[in-house]
Amino acid sequence: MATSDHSRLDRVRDRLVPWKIGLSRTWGQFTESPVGVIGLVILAAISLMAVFAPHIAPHSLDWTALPENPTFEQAGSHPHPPAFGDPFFAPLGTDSLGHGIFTQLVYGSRTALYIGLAAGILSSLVGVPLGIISGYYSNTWVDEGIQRVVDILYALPFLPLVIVLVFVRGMSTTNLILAIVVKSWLNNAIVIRGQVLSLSERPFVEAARASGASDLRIMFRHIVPNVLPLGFVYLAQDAAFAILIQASVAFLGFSDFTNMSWGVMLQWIQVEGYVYTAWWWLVPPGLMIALLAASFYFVGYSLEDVMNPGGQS
Amino acid sequence: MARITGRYLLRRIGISAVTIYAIATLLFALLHAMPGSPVDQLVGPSMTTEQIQNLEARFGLNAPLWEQYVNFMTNYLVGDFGYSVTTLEPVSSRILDRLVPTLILFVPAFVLQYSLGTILGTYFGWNRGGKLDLGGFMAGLTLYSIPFFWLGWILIWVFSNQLGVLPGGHMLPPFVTEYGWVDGVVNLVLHLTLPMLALALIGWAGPMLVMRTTMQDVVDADYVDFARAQGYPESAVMTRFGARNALIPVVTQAIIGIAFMIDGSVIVETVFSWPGIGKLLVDAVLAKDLPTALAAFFVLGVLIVALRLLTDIVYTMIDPRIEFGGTD
Amino acid sequence: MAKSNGSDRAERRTLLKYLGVGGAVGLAGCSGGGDTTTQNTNDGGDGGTTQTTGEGTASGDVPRGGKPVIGLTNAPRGFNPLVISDSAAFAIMDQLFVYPTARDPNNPNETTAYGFSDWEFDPDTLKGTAKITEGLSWTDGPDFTAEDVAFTFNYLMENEGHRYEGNTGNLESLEQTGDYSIKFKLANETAAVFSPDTGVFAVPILPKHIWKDVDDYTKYSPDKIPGAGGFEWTAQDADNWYELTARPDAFPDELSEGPYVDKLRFLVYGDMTSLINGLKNGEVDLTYDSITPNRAFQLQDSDSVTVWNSATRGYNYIAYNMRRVPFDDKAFRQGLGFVYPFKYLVNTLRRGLSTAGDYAAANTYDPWRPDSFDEPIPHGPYKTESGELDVEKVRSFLENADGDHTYSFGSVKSSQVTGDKEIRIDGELLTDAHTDNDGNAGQGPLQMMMTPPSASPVIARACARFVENLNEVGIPTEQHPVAENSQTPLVWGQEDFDMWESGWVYMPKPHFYLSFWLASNRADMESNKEALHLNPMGYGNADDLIKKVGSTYADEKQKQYAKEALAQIYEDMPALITEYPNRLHASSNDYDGWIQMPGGISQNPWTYVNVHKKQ
Repeated sequence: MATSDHSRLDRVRDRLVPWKIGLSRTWGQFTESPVGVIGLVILAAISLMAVFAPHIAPHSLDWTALPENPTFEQAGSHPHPPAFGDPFFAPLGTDSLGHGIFTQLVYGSRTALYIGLAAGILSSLVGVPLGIISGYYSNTWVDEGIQRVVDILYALPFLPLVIVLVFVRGMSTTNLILAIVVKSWLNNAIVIRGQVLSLSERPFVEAARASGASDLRIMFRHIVPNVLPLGFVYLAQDAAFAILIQASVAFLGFSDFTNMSWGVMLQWIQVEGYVYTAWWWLVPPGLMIALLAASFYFVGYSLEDVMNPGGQS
Repeated sequence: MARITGRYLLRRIGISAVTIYAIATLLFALLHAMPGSPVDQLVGPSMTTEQIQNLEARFGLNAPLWEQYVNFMTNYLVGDFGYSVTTLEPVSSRILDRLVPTLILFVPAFVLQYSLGTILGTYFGWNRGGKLDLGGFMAGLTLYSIPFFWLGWILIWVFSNQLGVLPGGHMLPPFVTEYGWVDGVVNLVLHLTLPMLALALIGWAGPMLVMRTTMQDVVDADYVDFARAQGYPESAVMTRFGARNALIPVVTQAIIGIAFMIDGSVIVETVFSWPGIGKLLVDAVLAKDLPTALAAFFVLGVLIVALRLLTDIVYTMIDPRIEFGGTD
Repeated sequence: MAKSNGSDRAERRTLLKYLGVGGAVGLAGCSGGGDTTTQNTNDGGDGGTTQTTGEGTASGDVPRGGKPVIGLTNAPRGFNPLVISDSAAFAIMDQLFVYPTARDPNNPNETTAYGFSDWEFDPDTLKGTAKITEGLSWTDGPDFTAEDVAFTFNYLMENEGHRYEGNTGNLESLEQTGDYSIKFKLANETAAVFSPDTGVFAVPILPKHIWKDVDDYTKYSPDKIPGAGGFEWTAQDADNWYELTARPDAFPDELSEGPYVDKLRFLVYGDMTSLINGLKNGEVDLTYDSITPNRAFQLQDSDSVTVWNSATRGYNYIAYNMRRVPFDDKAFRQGLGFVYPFKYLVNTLRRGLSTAGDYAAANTYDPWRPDSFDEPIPHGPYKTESGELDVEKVRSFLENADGDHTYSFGSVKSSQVTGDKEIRIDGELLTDAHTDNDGNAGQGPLQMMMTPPSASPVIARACARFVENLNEVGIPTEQHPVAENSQTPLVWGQEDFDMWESGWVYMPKPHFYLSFWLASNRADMESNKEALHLNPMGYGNADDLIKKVGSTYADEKQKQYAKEALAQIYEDMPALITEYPNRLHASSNDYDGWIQMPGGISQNPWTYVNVHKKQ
């Protein structure tokens, strides 16, 4: 019947409403601050670089400026400072084996974005629901249980823990992301819990409860939209942090070097010994790491910034 | 002041104790899950199989896991951390020896970060939205994103290699056993400069952000308007009335922040050849020196749990809502 | 034997001019010092010679004084020689402890007197005697006598589980027969009685007056140790720096007139980058560990630093797990030799400072290596002329090989393969035919277990290229990086690997060590024991030959048997010997007299005893 179709569609729309509200609220607040917009622009630029890498990079990753049978002198001239066509084209110079730095930089953005977003999203997927549950059922054994798990994990230092986990499970990018998420979700959960606690005392939640709504419904329709903005804030922070941790882990030598990433570029310059002699190799990867992490931080903190004074509507 | 009941305190301490026990068990399981044993590096090509097995027996690696666990627990209860498998020294003295250099570096860096961050955060938060605020905010966040070891390299390159004015590593000039007071302090400060600079340049943004946020809350508070109306100059309003109250979250953050310097210390100590505890921890993990690694992780864990407990209590005690009579 | 072709050699000669050879005085006080030829220890000859170049000066003119600093990248873990094994600890301990014998710096394949002044051994009765060098004394007072020697060996024999068990395990009895003489009896025959590193007596002599009170050596951790060598312990800042003072008056002149310096200092750095930085700044005078070719090249432009290029005594290799299909087939293993990127490794990655590998014995040990691929048994060669990949050659070798499996090439099915065809083993895809240790098939692509580049950048890149080549030929392979410290239990314990890259740095003469890792008594053939076995390949085909080598004392016959064993091992290819990488060290130009031997300049005691300020 026409009426039942209509109501089913309505019901679906109803379900989506809280999400729509939450998202539009977040966007509205976000665009109020120039900092966030700048961050988003940089993020978009780097994403474009990652997506269109083969078109932007002047060569492929396998390309090397060395000919087939390099003479001793030829091999010795690498790493080579930036050269613009003569004898080869490498706008940011080459590394010790003749690979283009700019090419590596462009392709490295893929790994960086992947790690940042994957770690950020996973941390949120774990931390936000647990935070909501913990805050909603506060002071019950559910809450206490989650809190204790948080306490235990909180007490382990981040970098050494990542090293141990990478040792136990092996050095792949996936394992690194999982190791990061193990600690990263804690902040999400703690903060979301805090906000849920204060939300739970609000009149509209009391009213919903009084009217007989189930817990799940309340959490979904009333709590989630209000928590989303904060959730995004911490997602951004987690992403930035993941990128910086990956660089540190690469520096120490425990990262997956089979994928080109900015952290791995810095690891190679270190083990090959050109840190103080090849500035064109040293500076760009560090700058890119800082730029990407900063853009995530800009986005995240500006959201929080805007949310703050009288931020809870 | 909110009253802390004895029951509340007892409950919190009880929970902390259980947490510590759980941490110890988790660490034991995790570190034993790592492949390899300290024997690996002692094996020489001329050893026969029985000789290698004797080595393993000597390290007690043949005992069943549950037995090792029970020994571990009972020893830790009385504070006996055992002996390092690689150096044979008592673990506690090793940890203490390496903890001191880490503190020497991180405490001043910490103080520098927090003072700089708090002061700048105060200004930025007070003048929210102004050019200075936005500029400072962005600069802080950008610096916060710089990988530490990279900044360390750049600083070493500029100041040590090119300009030659500051030493590029180590805590003190080596091969001198005794320093006169003045001499020792001067040298220490010289060696401290670069790592501390790197730490502070990156880290000041942390407290700045917190301070800025809480200052923004405070800016609109009633008592601030009241103080202004009373005739206090703007700077006094900002510092005496505004900042003092906004400090609370920063202070509680700072207490916890102490414990997290270990994370940073691993990198610092590698780049600047600083003999601290971060490197000890990672080296112990790599060498499968389980007693040292377990003890170092455990000590840090206990420290963090204790600091969090302290933070909780302090925060409850000085909750500003109760202090200033306003309800939220 | 693979000789380098003309152009490689020319390139290497240019290198030598670059990598200066500092003027050094011949070993003062030793017979036959002062050799004026500029000879690279790489050029074969009679097992390698010592490079002591420059004018030979009369021994009275050697300047005294100076405090050279040696840079370490790890802190020494402790100073109990029975327990500690890291190179940093031994860097220091070797200057304090006296060993009965040492390598002769003028003739590195020969043994020379150190703690023992004379010795003899009768292989038929297994009895021998030795005379102790007179004139040595401990830094805390007592003389160094046969009492210390007898005590040391009896202590080592009574205790188990220490790192010298392998050396002294063969001793049946040892007694003091006088103040400076001992006699002994072995339990089994062995060729390695007095040789340094591997011999029964290659053990540091412990001071009886200290160690007699040590009941449990596993708990003994001294902060400092009295020594009987050319230096004594002075001061330290644990994990940071260590200082030794020279005691030339307590060191017998017939061993050396040195040490000439005042002090010897060791400084610990966080990583190699800071250490090399320290070398350029003048904080450090010698790198203890070998450095990579890239660093060596960067240093050679520096006026204040000299780079030393020494032959190696060891080699790098890739071990194959012979329990698994397809590595169970000799033909397959031989075929892989055509795939390995020898030329890329030696020319590009090592910048020419290495030699492509073939036999399980470094070039330094030329007299023990077969003279050609036809003698004494035909064996290979299993590598391409140029050392580069030749896809067609590999494929036709495998297709025509008469091995345990038949090989063919068909359409590509696996994602790893980048070439135009993929291999089939007995008609099946490799990914299906590939078995584990228990014979279960379907194990997927081959796994190349390797150390991450932070520890060995050159080898990591070479392995990556090897994997690329394999995929180009049509053999699906993946890189499998495993942290260095995690490899041992996987490979030596559980034998859970397909291909594993590793290397030996300090190998003694071939007849001493072939049995360490190439004989079946070192292998867990069924792979059902957890204990560590040094022959993870499961290889046993050369057992008889290796036994003959180890039990022959007559020089010429020994060399002949060694050639046969090495040829057989090459033919069977249980492991692919990839290269003999040169050992590179750097020293500051403030000091002279570094003794260069195969293996490098920093790892022999004569270097420190002979080093002195530049005149």
